[in-house]
Amino acid sequence: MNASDSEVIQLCLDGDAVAFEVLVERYKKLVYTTAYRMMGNKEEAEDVSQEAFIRIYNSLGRYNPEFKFSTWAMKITTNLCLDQLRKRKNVALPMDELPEITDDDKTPEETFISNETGREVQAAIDKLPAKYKEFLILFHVQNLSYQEIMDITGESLTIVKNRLYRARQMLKEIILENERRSSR
Amino acid sequence: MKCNEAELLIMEYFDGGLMKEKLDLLVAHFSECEACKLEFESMKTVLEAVESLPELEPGENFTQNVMKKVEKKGWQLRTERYFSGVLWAAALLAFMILTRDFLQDSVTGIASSSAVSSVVGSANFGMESSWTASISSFFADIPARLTHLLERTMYFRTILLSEYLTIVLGLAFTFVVANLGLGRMFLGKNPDRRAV
Repeated sequence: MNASDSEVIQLCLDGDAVAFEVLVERYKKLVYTTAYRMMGNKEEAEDVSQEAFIRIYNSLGRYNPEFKFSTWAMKITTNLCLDQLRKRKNVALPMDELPEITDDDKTPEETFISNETGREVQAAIDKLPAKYKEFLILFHVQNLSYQEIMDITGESLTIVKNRLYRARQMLKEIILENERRSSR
Repeated sequence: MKCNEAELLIMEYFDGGLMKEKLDLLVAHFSECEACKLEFESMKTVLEAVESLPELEPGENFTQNVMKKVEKKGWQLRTERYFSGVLWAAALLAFMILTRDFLQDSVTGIASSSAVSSVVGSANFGMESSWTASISSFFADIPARLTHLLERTMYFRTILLSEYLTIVLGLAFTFVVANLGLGRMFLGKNPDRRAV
């Protein structure tokens, strides 16, 4: 179906729940990738993504078409991730939950290498405090603009820039620290 | 260039690129300052690694699972809407049937009782002119009307009592179904941290 997002949303609002499938198919990678980078493991990423889509469906009536649908979807997803991360503080972390990344275009060795770096980077992202992690992911993983990040997080440009700056510094420190430790 | 200026430029670089002149300045600074160069390079490596993280796909049944929940929800909403409509219609119908006798009786009853009293009135005040007769018959009617209304009310009360259980259950059921939707709206409403 090549209908625009707003056309599909209108169909859903008119009571055609099946039309929602189009939106899920269109945005599941975006939502899941963001959730995965935020949560750092499959199970939670999958749960949060499902919850995000259900929440999106339930509040379609409140969607403001001034914003891109993806922006709105990202907002709901990151909010859920932050809630989940907050809850997790009191619960034991899922240990040694490592990402499984498969890439069909690559040879096994290349896959292994990118898997390794991918894991290291993800492990480093996992160590970032939630409020910094969010900005790093939106900017560097999802390549969103400052304006979009401001719309998603509701923060001012100054805060977006500051958090991003701090997040990069922290991430670099974590990765350098890991390298130092492993080379020792 | 000083190192703190270089730091700003490095930041700008990762924020979305530098103009040629500024980039040249930065590169010139790197040839003099190993620390800043190292800082820049390690940051570049890290961020490139972040940016080359692959896009991921959720499990195979993801869409299906979401749609199952969404369709269930849609079905619930539709049936709730449907049932509350049906129930309101049924309640209205029941009310009309129950009160039909009452209303009809009271109309005809008042008419007949006022006929009786006007006969009584004209007998008592036969000498009066017709307009005073109608006024006095109106006042004479009041006790008759009142007793009749009381009678009817008592009758309605017996209907209410005999149908009490049905009515209460009906009302309760209507109330519960109508509130399912409302309850869902208020209780199920997610506390969105920020509103777009």
